[in-house]
Amino acid sequence: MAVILYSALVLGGLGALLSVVLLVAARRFAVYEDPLINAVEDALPGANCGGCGFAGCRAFAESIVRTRDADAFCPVGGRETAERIAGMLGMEVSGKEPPVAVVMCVGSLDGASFVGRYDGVMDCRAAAIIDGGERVCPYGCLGLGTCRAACQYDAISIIEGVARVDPEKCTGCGSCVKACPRGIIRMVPRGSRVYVACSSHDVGKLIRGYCRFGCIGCRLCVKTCEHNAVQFSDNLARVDPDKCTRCGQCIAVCKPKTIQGADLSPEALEASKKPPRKRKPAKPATREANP
Amino acid sequence: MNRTFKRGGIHPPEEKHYTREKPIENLPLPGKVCIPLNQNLGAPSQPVVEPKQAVKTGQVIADPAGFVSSPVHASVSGVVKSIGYRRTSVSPCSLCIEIESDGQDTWVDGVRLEADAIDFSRPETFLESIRAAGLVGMGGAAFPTHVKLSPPEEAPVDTLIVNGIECEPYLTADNRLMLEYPGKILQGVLAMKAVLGVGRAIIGIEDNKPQAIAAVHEAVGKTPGVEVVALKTCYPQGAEKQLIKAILDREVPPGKLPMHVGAVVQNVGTAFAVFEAVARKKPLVERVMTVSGPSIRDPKNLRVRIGTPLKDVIEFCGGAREDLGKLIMGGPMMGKALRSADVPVLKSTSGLIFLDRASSLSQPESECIRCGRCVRACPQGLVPGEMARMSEAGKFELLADALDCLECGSCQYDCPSNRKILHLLRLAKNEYRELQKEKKSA
Repeated sequence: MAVILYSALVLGGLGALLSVVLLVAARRFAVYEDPLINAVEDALPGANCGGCGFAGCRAFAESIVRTRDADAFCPVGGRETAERIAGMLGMEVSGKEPPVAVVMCVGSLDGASFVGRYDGVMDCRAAAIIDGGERVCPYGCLGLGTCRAACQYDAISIIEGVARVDPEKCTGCGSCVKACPRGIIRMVPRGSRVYVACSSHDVGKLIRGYCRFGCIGCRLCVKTCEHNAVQFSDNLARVDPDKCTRCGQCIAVCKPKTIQGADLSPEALEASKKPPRKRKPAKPATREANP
Repeated sequence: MNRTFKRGGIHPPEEKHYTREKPIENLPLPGKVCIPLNQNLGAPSQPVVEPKQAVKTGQVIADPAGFVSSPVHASVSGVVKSIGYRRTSVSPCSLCIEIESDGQDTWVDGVRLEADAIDFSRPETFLESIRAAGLVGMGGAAFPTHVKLSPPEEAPVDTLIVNGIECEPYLTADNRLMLEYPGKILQGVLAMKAVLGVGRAIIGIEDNKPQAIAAVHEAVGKTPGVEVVALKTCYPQGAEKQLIKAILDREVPPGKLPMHVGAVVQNVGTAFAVFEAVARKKPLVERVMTVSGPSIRDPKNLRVRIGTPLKDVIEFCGGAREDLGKLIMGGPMMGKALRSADVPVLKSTSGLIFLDRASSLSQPESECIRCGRCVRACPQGLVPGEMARMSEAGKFELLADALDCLECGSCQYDCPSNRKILHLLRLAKNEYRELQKEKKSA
């Protein structure tokens, strides 16, 4: 009997003592955490993709609760999530939309030349370090699908030997941009996809030898664009999405059909199919400046 | 029994019979050469000529950019046709200078092609001659020779090792050089010995080249401070670290260089080029390479001008057979499969191997069975199979050890599952370096 009594007393006493220690410790070392952080984290998709630029959803939540940055944006959650978070934090949603990835190469199996037989590891990065792949173009898509594997949203598929992005599924997280060893995937603002789908810096003569869809450097797009949105450097044209009005004129004049336009209005789509105009009328201002 | 290194290693079929007995022939002057400017490890050189400019053989056409870089010289006389980006075996677009030959082969002033002895009275001028001649390691890595010959003070060097191993199958270029020019190689060795100021030079040759051993032995004779060592044939003995282990029994720690254990390793081809640079003031405009394999009609050892299109070389050797399956630049173990012969010969091109379809087709790959043969084969003491699996899974941040990989390919050679271990390790090396770079810049 005494044994049971002593044990109960010792254990009970020990329990009481430790509970007091725990209580003091909990009070003394308590860390205050904004309950909003947890709420915001719950509202996020929880993919931890890093597309927002933070280490994960938790880091994004901590940051946005602390800074109330209206421009911080979760590309996966999209506008809906942004509005929900803005509601929690009492902010307005800024008008920004997540960008969308585009592949700057359309050299498909029937358009580009291929040589040899690639026998290495099926990974674009592995192919790139041994100058592998079967495509002759030293700049184009290797087509082994490293970007497809990097995409968590199943937005990339390899069609006809070239990676293509499905804009509906793309969240703009940018994982594919990091994964591509050739650096040919770019982020462009959503809804303004007019881009030169070629990355080759070779001169036109060389390109014509190995790809039907390559930018041959004729600069017709530069001359045609009335908004000065097409720049040409290092044998390659590039469309500036900030200046582009998506009128479709450059698409119409591009002979090798390198320029792609996916977000065109019906009128612009019509214009992009018209045969190229002969010449762009010279600006009167320049005529006066050069008598 | 001759010595060799102790850990790992394999013995692939030597296949040297194709060209072992064939004397070095000169390839006729090419009509056009295309000389890449990124031929050395380190910074690519900067062009100093203009298109349409006339150049003589041996004239500097590109200056080194920094210390770890080498000048590049015109390998034929003629007119610079263009300077632009071309596909080479190193990169899909390297800056190249194209020269159209005038067929005269007029050498630049100051070159004494007939000189056949080094004047040892002024050894302090040797290093500058070697640098100015644009010498790089001729074994394959193309590290600038003058950099290797000027070790920093904190790493005192006591031994010069001369690499006459040529452990790659098929290749016989070094073998022929040792047979035909042992005296000149010896002079080059003595010149490098004088530059380094070391008391001992050891020429290591594998025992599958008895004639070369005998020839070099005879040339060396009783020269003080120079030894010839015959080593047991084992791949990859020609790798610096393995050669140092075999000859000096010193282990180069991971991430360190041979000079940290007091050794400098130079190839016999480099020794010959040093002789030419010092005695003849002749820049590195040509090299000896082996054209061999079952699928070339007429295998040869050739002296070829740098920048010669491979097509010229192939034509001179009678062309490829119909059953050609793979064309490899360098040796079959560490060389690089080419996808077109439309690339030029480089300073580091030791051979051109034509494999037939049957021997070059890769076997179907299966799962790793954890047999550990790659571990036994690895001369660097790595665990290649495990590392390859990690590389496959994309866990590059854990693969710091991959940087110790020589890329010798012994693991893949011995793999019963035909796994592409080497390629996965190369990928890991590259991605790990990228991660380090990212970390640094962040």
